Amino acid sequence: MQLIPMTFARSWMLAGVAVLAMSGVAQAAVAEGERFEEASFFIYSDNHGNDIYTPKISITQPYAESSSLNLGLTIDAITAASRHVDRFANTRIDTLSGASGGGEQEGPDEVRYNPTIQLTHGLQGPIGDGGDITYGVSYSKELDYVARTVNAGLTWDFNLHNTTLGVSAVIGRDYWTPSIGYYKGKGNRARNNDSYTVDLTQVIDDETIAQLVWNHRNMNGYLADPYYLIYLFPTAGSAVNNIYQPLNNTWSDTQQWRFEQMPGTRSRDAYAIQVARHLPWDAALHVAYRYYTDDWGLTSHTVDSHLYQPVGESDMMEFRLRYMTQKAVDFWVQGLSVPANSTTVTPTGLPQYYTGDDKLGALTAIRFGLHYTWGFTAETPSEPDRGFVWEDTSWFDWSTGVVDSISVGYEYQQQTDPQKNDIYSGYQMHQLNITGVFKF
Amino acid sequence: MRIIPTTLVLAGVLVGATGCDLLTRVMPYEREILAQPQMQFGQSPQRGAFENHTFESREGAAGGIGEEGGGCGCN
Repeated sequence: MQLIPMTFARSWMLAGVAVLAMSGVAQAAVAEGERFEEASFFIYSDNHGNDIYTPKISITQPYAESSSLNLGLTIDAITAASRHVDRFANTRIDTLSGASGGGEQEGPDEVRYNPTIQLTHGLQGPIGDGGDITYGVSYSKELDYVARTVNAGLTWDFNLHNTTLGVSAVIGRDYWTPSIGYYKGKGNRARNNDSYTVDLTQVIDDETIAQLVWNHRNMNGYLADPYYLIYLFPTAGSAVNNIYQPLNNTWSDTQQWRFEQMPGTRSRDAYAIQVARHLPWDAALHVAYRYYTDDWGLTSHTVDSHLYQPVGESDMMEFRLRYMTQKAVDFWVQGLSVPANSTTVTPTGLPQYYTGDDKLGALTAIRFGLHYTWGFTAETPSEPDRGFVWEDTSWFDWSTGVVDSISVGYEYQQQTDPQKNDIYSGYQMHQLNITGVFKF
Repeated sequence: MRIIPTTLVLAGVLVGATGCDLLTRVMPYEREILAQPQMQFGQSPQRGAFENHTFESREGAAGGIGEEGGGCGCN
């Protein structure tokens, strides 16, 4: 875990900037009603040198009956996003991201900014009185990647509010601007990423509720990673230790390796069911199952379970257990075998598509989580049942507020890859989070 | 595999269109338990979005459970 103080301090500084920036915007939209603010701080760290510090803030301002405006800002301060080791040894690099700037350095290697705006309108009239229309935009910018999305969704309650139908779409128009390596200076590489979801939530009985979800995604454009390298084996079946070093260790040299090659389209489908069941001791068990498949040949099964246990009047403890397994895409390779009668300079017989990206290979992951939420408020913010109330006339000019809840949690994930026998066979990930919800 | 989403959607539409006569209808005054905080789906949207962003950079599957991730060059 590479917790660099400078990184940490800069993350909090960024969080402060985010709070200041968002408070000004939100104040301009102040109207009658109760404003909610949710502020979180996440830390992600794994045993391959990736550390991410993420402050997030979200402000929801009601502006009419059943309608609200939500403004959000996420900042990722990423340290050592590049893999400073390769698939076969500890001294070479087989993936280089723009976040690295080409090498290790102090502080965050890259900062990603992701502001969002979301509007929600309560539905009234002929199609129902319990639904919402939501639409918004999102923008994400980092050193070498820009993601732009528009989204819209409809939820509709009917059957005496026993059934809710939801449909939503997210249209994404992204592009790479490679910041280092062979593709640097060779223009943007566009990628479209569209997602459509239909979900149906149904009350089963007075202690059970279930939801069916279908998500379809279409991707097209440049779907490869512009930095990912696949090494060439001089003959089929060569031992991994015998692969060639890149000539002169220069990244423009293409003799001993190739950039991964991906199809230009990808069609993805996920089918999920989740059930929430009340248990006799007043806890609730949530269990979700997802089957995923795509036309690259990757299939996956995921089971995600949460046990929510109320503690006292207003606290909540959460236990989590998640299991995921996936089969590799059809064109996943550990390296490219070059026929004996070929050369590594101009190899023949290479497949049309190939990738060694570990997230597209076969893998199994198990995740454990424990979270605790302290709830502080009663039904109305003016009548809190315990502590953390303030009357404020400072620079925020938010006259009265109350801390609604504070959550602290930790999650651990162990990821193993039965297909690969190398250093990537064991990811260990840690996640810490603290979240505060405030009412004004 | 196209038959699976089609079946799911049709089943959903059927259940909705028939007014859920095939299912138990729970009246509002019977929903004390269903209204409790621990029974709600999507309890931590911010955490869900962060986690899915993580999952999409480490796993090949996406969608169906939780918030949309994205915002990165993940496949």
